[in-house]
Amino acid sequence: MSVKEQLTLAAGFAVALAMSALFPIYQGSGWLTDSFGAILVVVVTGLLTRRFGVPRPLQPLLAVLALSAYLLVVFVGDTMSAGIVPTAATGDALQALWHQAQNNIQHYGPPVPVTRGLLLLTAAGVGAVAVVVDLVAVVLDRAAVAGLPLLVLLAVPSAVLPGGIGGLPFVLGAIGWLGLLLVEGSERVGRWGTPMRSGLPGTRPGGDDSSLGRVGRRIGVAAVGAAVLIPWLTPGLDHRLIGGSGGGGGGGNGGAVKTQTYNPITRLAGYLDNKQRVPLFDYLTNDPQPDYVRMTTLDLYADGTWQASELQADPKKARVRNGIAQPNGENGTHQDLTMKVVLRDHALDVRWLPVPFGPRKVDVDVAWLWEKRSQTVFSASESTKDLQSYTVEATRAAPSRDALLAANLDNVPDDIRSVYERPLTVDPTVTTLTDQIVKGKTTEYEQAVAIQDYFARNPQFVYDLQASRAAPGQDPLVAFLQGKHGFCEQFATAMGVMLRVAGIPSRVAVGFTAGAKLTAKDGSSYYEVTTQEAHAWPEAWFPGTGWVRFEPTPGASGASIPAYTSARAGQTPNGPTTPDPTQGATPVPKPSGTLSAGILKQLNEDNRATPATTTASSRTGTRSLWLVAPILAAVLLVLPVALTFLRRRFRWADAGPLTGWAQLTDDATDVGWTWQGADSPRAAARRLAVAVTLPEAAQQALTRIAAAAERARYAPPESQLREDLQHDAAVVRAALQAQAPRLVRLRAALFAPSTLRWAGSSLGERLGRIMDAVDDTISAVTRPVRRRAAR
Amino acid sequence: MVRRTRAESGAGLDDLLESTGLIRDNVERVIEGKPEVVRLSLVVLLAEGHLLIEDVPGVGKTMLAKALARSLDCSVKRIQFTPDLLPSDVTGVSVYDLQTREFEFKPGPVFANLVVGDEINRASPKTQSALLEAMEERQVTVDGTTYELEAPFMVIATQNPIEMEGTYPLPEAQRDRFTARVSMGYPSPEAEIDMLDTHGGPAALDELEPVADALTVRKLIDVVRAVHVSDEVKRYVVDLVTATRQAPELRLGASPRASLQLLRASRAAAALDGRDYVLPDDVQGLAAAVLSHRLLPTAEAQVARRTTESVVEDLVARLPLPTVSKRR
Repeated sequence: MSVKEQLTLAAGFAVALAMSALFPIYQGSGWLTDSFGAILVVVVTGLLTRRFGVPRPLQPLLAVLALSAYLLVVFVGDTMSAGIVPTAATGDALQALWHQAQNNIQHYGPPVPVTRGLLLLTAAGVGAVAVVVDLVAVVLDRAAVAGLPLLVLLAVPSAVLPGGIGGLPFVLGAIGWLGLLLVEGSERVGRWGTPMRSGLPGTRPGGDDSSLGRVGRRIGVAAVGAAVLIPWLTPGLDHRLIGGSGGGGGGGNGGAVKTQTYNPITRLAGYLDNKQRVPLFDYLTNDPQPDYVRMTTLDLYADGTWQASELQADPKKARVRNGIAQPNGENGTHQDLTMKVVLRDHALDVRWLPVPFGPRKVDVDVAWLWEKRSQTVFSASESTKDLQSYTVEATRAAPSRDALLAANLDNVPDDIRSVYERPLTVDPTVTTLTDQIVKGKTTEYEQAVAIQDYFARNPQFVYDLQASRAAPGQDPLVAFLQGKHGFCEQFATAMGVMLRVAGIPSRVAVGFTAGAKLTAKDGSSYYEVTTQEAHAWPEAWFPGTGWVRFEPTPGASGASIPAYTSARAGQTPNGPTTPDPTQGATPVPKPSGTLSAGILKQLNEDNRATPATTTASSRTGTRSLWLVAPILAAVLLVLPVALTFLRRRFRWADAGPLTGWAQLTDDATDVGWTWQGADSPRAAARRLAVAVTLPEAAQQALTRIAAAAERARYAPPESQLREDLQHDAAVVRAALQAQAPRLVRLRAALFAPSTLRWAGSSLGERLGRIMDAVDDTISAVTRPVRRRAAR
Repeated sequence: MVRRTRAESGAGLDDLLESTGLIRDNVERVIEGKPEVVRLSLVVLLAEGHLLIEDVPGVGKTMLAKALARSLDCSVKRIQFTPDLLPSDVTGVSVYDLQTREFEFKPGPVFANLVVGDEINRASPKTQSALLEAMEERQVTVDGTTYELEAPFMVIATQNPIEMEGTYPLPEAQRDRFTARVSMGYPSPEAEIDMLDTHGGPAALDELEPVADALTVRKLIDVVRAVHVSDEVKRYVVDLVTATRQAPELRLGASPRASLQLLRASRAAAALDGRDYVLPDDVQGLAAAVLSHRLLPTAEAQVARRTTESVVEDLVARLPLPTVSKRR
């Protein structure tokens, strides 16, 4: 097999290994076969083109052709005539699959179900990566650069998964790439001839023993090991390997932390699609009528979906634990409230913190920042699954209907206008409908209420998790307005769009409805929020009041139409909400399982204290760090002393003729003496005696120790002296210590350099042995390939 | 420093110390103030090697060679190397005997226990090469017949530095056969005054009496051969010689023969110290004398005025001692 063919195989192998990173994205492994088939097609094509000497520029073209043929046959084979000739139906089928994939990407959060569309997308993507890797590594002879296309396979899941891809896929991908490098490397060496093998008995049996190859493999193993271990071991550093959801770093923008996350709407749809009620968090509040809990808001609308633009905040100034500046110029009544949130273990895994409207301060660690524009508490590096609980102090505005009616949108500040009045591209039917709805409403506020009521108080619209489906090529928004079936996502989307069409600054907020009020065993009440409370709603901006929420969705769990949007609202100035008459009685859900004692305790702890008191930060990591740090420090302090003591103890327990010398070496090292590697015991002792003025007794003891060591190392075994040198060693040690400065003595007692050096070298030896083992394994595995290459 | 017991040094070692002490005293009667040179020549004798004494004229090279020769009661021959000397003048010739009608071999001066080759680099390389076989294999082949040389066989050659006029450099193969090269160096003022007194009177060299014979020397050589060499020291010798082959300042490193001779010389040095085992210190002490004349410096090193001695000394100072065994 030629080197090119080996490289082709290695490239395919590397892509297959890197592909393992896609596992967490999908439910199950149904995608694997088709994607693997795509790699196989590319590899086989590569092998054949190389075997038959096809000119280089044609090789990637043929690979692309073969890959396309494979994809067509596998995915739309039934539409082709005679199974091989594409027809018009083939194009339609492909387009349908493409739309399905797009739709799925927008609507599902990982792990996504394996649909035909996604399957096609994945297989095509993996196949394309295989073609590019093959092109770069084999055709262009640049195996090192082939790491970049391989990285694409790792980057996609790490951008989509909030928790990153973890260490294993990275290591597998790295192994594939190193294998590719190895094959290429052996080819390069092979061009210069086969390296000579050393015949010395000390050399290791088998394998490529050139020290260069060994060093190369060691560097490879060490680099991969370091890349996996260092982030994992470094406290405070995000333990994911590659920048997770595209955020994390953010160094490129003047120190601002940015994050671009997957669309929260897709997560929301995922929660609601899942018929099970999974409790996400519980909260306790002094608010008699808690309103929605908000996570983030979406400001961009395109292709039927709202999306969030990049969140951005200064990591030093925007920490929510230091307080959040309240927006100026918002009048009306405000209500102070405190909310203590206890998250269920790992149930909620997002990068936005659920908080009530108008948070003033949240006691979470420094990773959580406030983005003023979107009014989001977010973190680029952490997820809510890293948290156990937190307390939010908030000031919630109670918008007054009169103020809203009086609001005039002629002078919208630039920061609002530039983002939230951005013109949208919408289907003309939407514009026409909006015009019809707002016709005759004089103020913008009345227009907004009219749009809300068009949805919320209109029996034609039905709350349905199976939203009206769009035909291929149809705008999903138009489909919803025609079909009138949907859930909060469709309602919020539609109203958000129509508000903008009407010229009102709008956005879509994502979060949860207030949740179910439950009573704990001790009689105190708390609220439980589950996946069924996941919700989206539109918000509109009015001068003097700021952002106010609307509720166009009829019948969502716990949804309520804001009081200020109904004409009767003036009577209930305290409560911002009134039960929605169209909604009927919302069934009060039962507690989802018994509340764990720990959560109850945490909730009640806060209940007894004054609600305004901030409890201690409760991030698991931070807490354990505070606990672990002193222990670690103590261990680090005690360990060298204990090691020194134990080494001395064990050394003399099993004393030999060299023990005295070993002890002397350590003792002199501890007082700062540097030993010359070229000195024999005799020469070293002479040098030491000249440099350090020792008393006569110590001189003699030193001589005896050196003589014993000399004999032990160089004299015939039968003429060894059996002397007890422990006393001599103690005498020399005392003499050396006596003439050393106090600081040096202290260092010798606490952090004996000899012990540290010993620990370092034995650790290094162990690591070296492990590396040798890894190296031998790699060597054994790759030997047949290399042998063939050498031939 | 090392306390020696009778059991470990053995009777042979005591005899060696006694005999070599006599020889040393004898030689030092004419070579004043150069105990290390005298010791080195004894080391070479006991290591079954050959000695090259190199220095400017008039510092006592020939005196040392002759004093050593006179101290031993064995056959001694002297060859004065001159530009017109022929190989047969060294090895001997086959002469046609008219009476027996056969060729009869007339042994040359190389057939002796001690051969003093004076001013060896004044002869042409061709003649110098006549010594090659004798020095390494201790035999001489003339006209297809091989004649064994009697043990001990030692060549003590003197030479002037090659920069001197009328000299030929020794071929590498020849230099490699000398165990050690030693420089006499100028004597100290006191030693020089003593020398003036001694040599002012009757010829001191002529008064020297032999203090040992060939048999004694053979026995001493046997004692030296029995000196123990640990694996660590062997490893060290190999490391050191390997280091000369890898040193960037050298374009020719030391040969495996050099390793052998360095180890033999170290054995002899240990025995002369009354030790029955070799220390790395012995190797280190002899490295410059045994290795440096075999090495060739690179052009850069020559321009930088690095001598091969200084390169070897650097290597000795830098090369760490190996630890082969894990005995505690």
